[in-house]
Amino acid sequence: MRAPDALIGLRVVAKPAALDAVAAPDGRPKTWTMLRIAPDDAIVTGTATLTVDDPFAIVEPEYAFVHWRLTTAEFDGIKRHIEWPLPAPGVLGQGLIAGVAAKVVIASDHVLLIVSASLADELMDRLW
Amino acid sequence: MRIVVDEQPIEYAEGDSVAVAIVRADQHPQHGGALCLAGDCGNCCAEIDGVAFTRTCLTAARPGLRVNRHPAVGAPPLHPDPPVNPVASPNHVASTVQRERADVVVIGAGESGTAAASAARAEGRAVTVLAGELGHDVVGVYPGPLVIVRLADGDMLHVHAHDVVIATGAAELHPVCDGNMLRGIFTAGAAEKLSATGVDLGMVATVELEQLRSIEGSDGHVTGVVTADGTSTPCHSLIVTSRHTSPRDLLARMVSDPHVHAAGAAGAHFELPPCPTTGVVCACSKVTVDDLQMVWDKGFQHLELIKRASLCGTGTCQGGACMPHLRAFVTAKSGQAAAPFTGRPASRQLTIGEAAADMHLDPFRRTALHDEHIALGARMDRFGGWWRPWNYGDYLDEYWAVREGVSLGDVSTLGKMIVSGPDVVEALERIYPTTIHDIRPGRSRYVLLLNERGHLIDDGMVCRETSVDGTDRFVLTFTSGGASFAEAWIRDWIESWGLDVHVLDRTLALSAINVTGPLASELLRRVGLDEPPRFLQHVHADVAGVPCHVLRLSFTGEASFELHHPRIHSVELWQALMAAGSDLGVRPHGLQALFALRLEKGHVIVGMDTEMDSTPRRLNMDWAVKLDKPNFIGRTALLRTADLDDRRRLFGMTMDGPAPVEGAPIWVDGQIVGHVTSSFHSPGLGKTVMLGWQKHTPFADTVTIDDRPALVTHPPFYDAEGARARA
Repeated sequence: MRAPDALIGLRVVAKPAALDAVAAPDGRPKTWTMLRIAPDDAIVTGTATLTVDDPFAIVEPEYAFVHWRLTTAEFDGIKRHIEWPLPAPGVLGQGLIAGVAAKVVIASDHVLLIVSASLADELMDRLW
Repeated sequence: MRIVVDEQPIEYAEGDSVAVAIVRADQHPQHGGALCLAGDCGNCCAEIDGVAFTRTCLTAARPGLRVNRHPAVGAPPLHPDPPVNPVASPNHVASTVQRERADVVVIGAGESGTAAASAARAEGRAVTVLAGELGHDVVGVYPGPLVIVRLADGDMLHVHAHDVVIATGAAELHPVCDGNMLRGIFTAGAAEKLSATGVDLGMVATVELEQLRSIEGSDGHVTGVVTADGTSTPCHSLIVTSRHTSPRDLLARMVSDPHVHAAGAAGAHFELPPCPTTGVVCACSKVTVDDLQMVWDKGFQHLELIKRASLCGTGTCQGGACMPHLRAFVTAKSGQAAAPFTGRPASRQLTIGEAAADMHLDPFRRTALHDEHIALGARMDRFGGWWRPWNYGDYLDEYWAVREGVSLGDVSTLGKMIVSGPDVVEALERIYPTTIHDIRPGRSRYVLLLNERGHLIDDGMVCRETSVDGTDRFVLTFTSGGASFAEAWIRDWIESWGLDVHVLDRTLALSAINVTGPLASELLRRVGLDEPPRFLQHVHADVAGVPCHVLRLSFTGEASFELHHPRIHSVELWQALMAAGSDLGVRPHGLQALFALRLEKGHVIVGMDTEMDSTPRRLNMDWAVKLDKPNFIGRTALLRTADLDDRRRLFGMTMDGPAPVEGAPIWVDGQIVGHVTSSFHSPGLGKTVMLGWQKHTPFADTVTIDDRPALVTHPPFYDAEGARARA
């Protein structure tokens, strides 16, 4: 299997309502994807800046994760390592895959498989 | 067609199970005992193709299949020459796991099972039926509920269900009387199967279990039967019938869950057989009625206690054969109906490969510098959930590089957390036993993390960020092994208190390199850090073009700068530092050197030098606790115990000669009073330095370790004034 790509984005911790209402600076149209990993915690890809209506919000560049963009067939090949219900399309799913904590987002024509960079080699060894 | 039993080929017929083939040859899969040929008992278990405890009645015969009987006494032997690598074993089965989900799982395809499945389907529910005749060997029912199945092809099936219906029917009773472990005894169901396959059982006698007094035999084989009226009837095979049956309820007994229920005969009320008076009750564990009576007389008078005391029901069949007799025994003795005992997976013997199919060890993380360490010849080892360099060849070279030059350490594994919010100071004041509000921006402070009982659970630094917009923000660090727990601990307390604080764990996003040694500042100037922070200060600055949060502290005893930086820039930063310091003799150091360096300073490692109940006082770290603070976790316990005598204390010690092993006992006046937690023969100090516990008062000034005197002294052993760390 090919090496994963770094997941480039921002990590945002803020009040849930502020995350719900997060906006691009200067009212520009939304071009990003928000992966909500907790009510007050999200990874936002596709933008380098965000406006968050919370003076104490923590907004930091995220370097912790890597990802594979898998074809549906590739994802079918690893499904047997997933014991939890797969998320609905577009919804973030989190759990162990082959014993490694990972995240999954299912799109219409591909699946994003996200894992901590520190565990990427371990996951590759176990899956492929 | 032949199979091989104890190295002797025997003929079998098409469709025979191994057990039937063996009986066809007038033999027994074991050394005796009634056969049910239905998988309910363990009397037909043997080693098949190297796998012990395999039920021969459920295994189809095939040409060349090798059967070895278990020994009459004791467990089957392990293979005489076990392979070092289990995966290379000829018996290794690389089982994989298939996973399914169902609204309802029905176990059993008989009348009750079919009815249950039909009813569920009529309600529009997705149903999975598991049955032996479909190639399913149900291993166990677990909380969830989760049903684990061994498939005919050797793979495993895990079915997550909302409801589980166990419709496994009823089992025939095995006889319990004198002679019940002879060869040639069959239940009625077994006899029917044997008859249907044309097996000649010779002269047969049939007796009702309730009329059975004893079974006669010679050379281990049945020769006759004696009934209750004293009549003796000669026979070669004995068929035992019974008006009683027993629920085949092992799976139902495995889990107490309202979504798991037995149906049909498996869940019906059954009349117990007569109380056994002689013979073997539990054939798997060879427990006799006399054994049961003995444990009863010793006071074990509850079914679960008798089971544990006698091992009755703990064998291969887990009560499948003996449960009704054991219940009858206890009921008769106590006068109260005895309920069945709990069942535990697995209901079928599994190979390690099958049990471990798709199971994984907890993964160990790799830092971004993992490959750099390998390239530098590091011996990697596992510490605190991470792969870390233990040394790079000679840890004393690394030790001297830190003491006299400059060295790099990969400390990416340290826990790192950002906290902010209007209540952040209040939260940290409650979490830590030292004062937080007076930490000025740009400064940091060493802190302990205590639990409610005042016991040390972690330590680290609190760094106050420079406020740019009036908001408070701190960076917290934790030990490598304690980071995950500390995050959960802090989140939990903040939520419990209802304080308004945001928490972001940066441990995995940020790497960290410790630049340490008397030439550390010089090296950092060469890579662009013109004004390195002073001791216990921290700054944000570019180092070799990489944005870093630079923390000045010292764990090694020398000037140390932790460069916290984006993980994706770790390799370039590491290589830049190594290149810039080549003429300074820069080299990396591993944990082995780090442990030695910090020991010379007397710094404890949580979990290594500390114990579960180590208070700051026991660690001589009262200085890190401000009891005059109004509140912090553990304060009440520390106040309560402050005036009490304490017989435990961690001391520093020195001695001549080589370092004793860590864990070595500490002796005073011929008594063991504690043990060594850390030890190192310091080439710089010319003696061995140690930390260790004394757990006996009065605390001694001199102790004996490895038959040598050791002097109790207060660390640090090196640079007591801390001048080098502050340089």
